[in-house]
Amino acid sequence: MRVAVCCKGIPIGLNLESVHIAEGDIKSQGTDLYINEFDAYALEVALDLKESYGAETFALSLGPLRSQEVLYFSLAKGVDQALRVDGETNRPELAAGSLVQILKEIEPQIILTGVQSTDWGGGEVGVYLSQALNMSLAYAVVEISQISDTSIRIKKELGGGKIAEVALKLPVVLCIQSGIKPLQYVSAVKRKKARKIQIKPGGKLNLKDMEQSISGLMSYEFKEVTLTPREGQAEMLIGTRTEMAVKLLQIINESV
Amino acid sequence: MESFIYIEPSEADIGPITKQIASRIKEIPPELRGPLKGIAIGHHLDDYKKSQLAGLIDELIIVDSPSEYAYNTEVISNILTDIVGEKDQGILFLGFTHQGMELGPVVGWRLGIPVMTSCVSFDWHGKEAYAQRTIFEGKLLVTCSVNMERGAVISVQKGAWKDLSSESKGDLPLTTVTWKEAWAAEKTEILAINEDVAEDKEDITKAEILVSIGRGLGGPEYLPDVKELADSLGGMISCTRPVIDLGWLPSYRQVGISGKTVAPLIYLALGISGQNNHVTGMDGSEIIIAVNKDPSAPIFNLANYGVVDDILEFVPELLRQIKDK
Ligand SMILES: Cc1cc2nc3c(=O)[nH]c(=O)nc-3n(C[C@H](O)[C@H](O)[C@H](O)COP(=O)(O)OP(=O)(O)OC[C@H]3O[C@@H](n4cnc5c(N)ncnc54)[C@H](O)[C@@H]3O)c2cc1C
Repeated sequence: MRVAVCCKGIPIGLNLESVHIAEGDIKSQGTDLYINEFDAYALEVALDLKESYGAETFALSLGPLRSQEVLYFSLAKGVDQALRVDGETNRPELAAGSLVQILKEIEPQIILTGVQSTDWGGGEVGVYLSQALNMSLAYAVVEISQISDTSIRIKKELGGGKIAEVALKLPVVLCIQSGIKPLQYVSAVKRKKARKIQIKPGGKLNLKDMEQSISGLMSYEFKEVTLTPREGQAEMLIGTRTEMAVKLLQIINESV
Repeated sequence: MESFIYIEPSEADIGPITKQIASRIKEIPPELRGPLKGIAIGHHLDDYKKSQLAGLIDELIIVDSPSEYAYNTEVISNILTDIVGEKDQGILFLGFTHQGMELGPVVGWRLGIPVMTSCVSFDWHGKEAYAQRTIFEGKLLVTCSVNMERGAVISVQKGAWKDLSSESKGDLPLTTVTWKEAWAAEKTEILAINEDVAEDKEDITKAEILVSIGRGLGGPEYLPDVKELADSLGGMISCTRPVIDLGWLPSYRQVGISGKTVAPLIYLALGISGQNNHVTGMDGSEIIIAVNKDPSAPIFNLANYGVVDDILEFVPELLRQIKDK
């Protein structure tokens, strides 16, 4: 069984000054990239499948050279191979479109993604992949219970505390929810060793190759990035810590 | 042009997100949006719920789908794609919920139309609409112009728009669509639906005061202070999802889109950033007080009162003040 896990490199601690729109995309200035938290959970699942089912595991990332850090991290955690698709985009249909070719070559039975990336916050990429590759799909997966040659049983969240038990035909795209497994610590030694492993080229983001299949989806434009407006802003308590604590307790006492 | 709202199954009433979307889209001139049609799949709408929709939408479409397909997103996607794509220029609005996160991009991909997820505002002018969506954990907004000429899928954050529905008025034209075998599931089978029941456990939905913690707490070693605070205020402890994921607290204490919806008198949010998936479960609280060390945390947009401070210092101070009294 082959398992591919898609891992996005995410900039941390950005502010309005470091994010801008250029070439029809949202760009962030050259900060370090860390694995998207939800993808880190997907990676744990991939490693679990390697251990329990002997799966051959592939970590994929679409990103610029600095996103290799995410792939080195995946290698340190224990994936068998890491491949980078060269390019940079925050447009989910483009991200999915540029991962399709390499996924067709790998032919995984299971593709894993996180439910969403914490920077864009949409959750489209895994869903688009399932459509582009005509695979089964489950979103917000919280457990993998059983895998056979042709099918998989999982549990997925429906929201509001409801969980569905679902059987799906393979191949499948599973969008993994946070908390599915504890995130395992990876030692500095393993991280160092992983840097010696080669990250393979997985192709390039090339709009021309994809234009036809996703041109309809791409009929929107980014116009402006702004701060989220602070309407209905909180009344801020000010003063020393003691004064703020006293005031806060007073508000509670007066309200109940 | 036709506009559609996917009506998700809900408990006693029509879900708030359906009413919020319908209220906003109804305000758009009919020349632009066309008729506004609700799509309910299966027979989850009783007469009471139908009456709640009168005045909010122009027509209700009920798809006669077998009950085993309730919650089967493969089937729901097949149906939505057919209905929205039947004529050119169908616009599908749906909630940015668990179902909506999955269904929206599937329908958009299949119809080859733009998909805008997690929207908080939407203005339609001629061939274009301007949608705003949150990025970077709710701290920033990106404005997008969406070409509406061939149709679009727009998913909306719960609570972004106001429910302007009033007591039901008039009739609601109803169309029943008969089941087509082509919609049947080929890849997905729902085996069971389970719910996390809180027997013998503290039921956070009953609390008058919730002391709610987020990842900002830093670790489970600080929980005893929080417990002491909740006890001395006569409240219960609730939390965000990462607190559950990290194993600091059990899942029945989770507030948000995948956890409980609460509406206490006081919601004291400690080290919680205030992202929509959490806020969705607590924005009905009477008074929200947020303590966060980041003055730009989105929780301060929603809270009634805010304190910018380190909770690891502030909570002990609260406890000192309570003891001193
Ligand atoms: C499909 C889906 C469903 C989800 N369902 C839910 C759900 O039901 N409930 C839920 O809560 N989330 C849910 N989430 C996750 C949600 O999107 C957010 O990731 C989550 O709510 C963030 O939790 P948080 O505020 O605790 O953590 P963070 O976003 O990491 O915020 C921590 C905050 O603590 C502050 N902080 C840090 N240290 C301190 C300190 N010492 N003192 C004071 N402040 C401090 C920081 O400034 C920050 O604002 C869901 C996500 C998805 C994709």
